Amino acid sequence: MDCAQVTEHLPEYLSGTLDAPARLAMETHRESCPRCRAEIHELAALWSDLETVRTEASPAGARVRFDAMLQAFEEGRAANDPPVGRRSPQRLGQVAAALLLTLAGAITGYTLRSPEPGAVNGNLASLEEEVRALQQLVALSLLDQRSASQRLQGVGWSSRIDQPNEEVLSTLIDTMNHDPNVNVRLAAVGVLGQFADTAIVREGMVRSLPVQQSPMIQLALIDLLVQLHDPRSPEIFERLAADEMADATVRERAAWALEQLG
Amino acid sequence: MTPREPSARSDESVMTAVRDGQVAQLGILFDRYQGRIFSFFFGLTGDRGLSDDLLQDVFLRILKYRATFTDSSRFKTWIYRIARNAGNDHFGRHRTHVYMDDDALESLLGATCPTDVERNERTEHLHRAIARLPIELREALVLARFENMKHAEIAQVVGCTPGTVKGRVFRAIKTLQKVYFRTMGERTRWTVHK
Ligand SMILES: [Zn+2]
Repeated sequence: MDCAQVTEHLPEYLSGTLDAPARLAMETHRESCPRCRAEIHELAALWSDLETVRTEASPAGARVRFDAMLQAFEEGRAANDPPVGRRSPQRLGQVAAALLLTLAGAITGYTLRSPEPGAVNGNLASLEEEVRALQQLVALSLLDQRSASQRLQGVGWSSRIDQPNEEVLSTLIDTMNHDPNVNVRLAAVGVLGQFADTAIVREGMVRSLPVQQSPMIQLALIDLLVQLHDPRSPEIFERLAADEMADATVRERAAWALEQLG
Repeated sequence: MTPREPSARSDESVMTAVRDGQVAQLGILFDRYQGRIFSFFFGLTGDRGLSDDLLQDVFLRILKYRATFTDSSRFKTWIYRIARNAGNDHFGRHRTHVYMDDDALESLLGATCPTDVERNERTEHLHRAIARLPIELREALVLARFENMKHAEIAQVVGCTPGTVKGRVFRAIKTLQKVYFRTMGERTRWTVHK
């Protein structure tokens, strides 16, 4: 084996999948060639160090989250879907075609090689739609759970939905206003900020600020409302800045916000 | 791979049952694959919260598209294809933060475990080097190194030839070698300029 062949076999050598004869030939060459010896030594060290980057420890709550998703799926299926056997073959065909295209890497980042881009986009759009419907189901189910960490996950799921429907948005607004856990409320504010271009969310934020008690939430809402430039905000800021019962930092920030809009 | 007792059902037979309506059995496959799929995403993104979300997304997609699992499909290849696709969707939508994205929400959600945040400098360094790899090299490296997959298996997942996979793994480690050893200051000789 020569230097070029050693290089050629390096990936298999490192991953331990090189067959015995080739391995032996490589090791023989290594003994007589300082350059390959150094190269193998260095790459083997690197390959080994990569182990420290690897982790198989998925978060402790992963299975709980999965179970909630499965439950939501089964509930949703019972409510909406005909049994699998009664699905029309055409529909299944569409899903299969869409999935194949998706699996072929048709989605973003990879070249779309279909002769009929229009048809492909149609299929992918309906597939995206179905995923979104499921994500909404999961989010709503989690937001309704008794444990705060599951409701937090529900907020997290909501943030991943491209255009959540009104039910999800109202539930998030409700969470922002009434969830017993301040972290959940705060997370809801953050996610609602992502969807502040919807009227229902703006309305929800404007109404929420005067009734919030936690300074953390008030500050987050003030900052969001400043960015939104909503015409209803100045009056609310004014009242908050003058409210002697309110937290001093909050009053200061409300006054600052008023200046920003003025 | 760890050998299973003979009575254990194959991934394929469990997935076939899931496909045919016994969706609760997907839990078996979740237990078998959650670690691997998580580590695949963590290798690609370096972000625990995001990797957990993508892991859940993969199983959601499996439920949704279970009807497309055929008797001739190999489950392992199938699930990695779905995982890859879920990742592509995410990276496509969030081009600006592909790697090490710990935005305010993730930290609010407490998705990151503090002991993992305290990675040592070396690991941090490697992570950053991996982060700079083009996605197709990063993906090939993660599947080969972290998922212990053979080049032929990886080829099936990503849809190219085993030779291409091998080339990508090689380019990935050569790139890492330059970045890693140069910046670590441990080697300064010919390897740097090769
Ligand atoms: Zn040599």
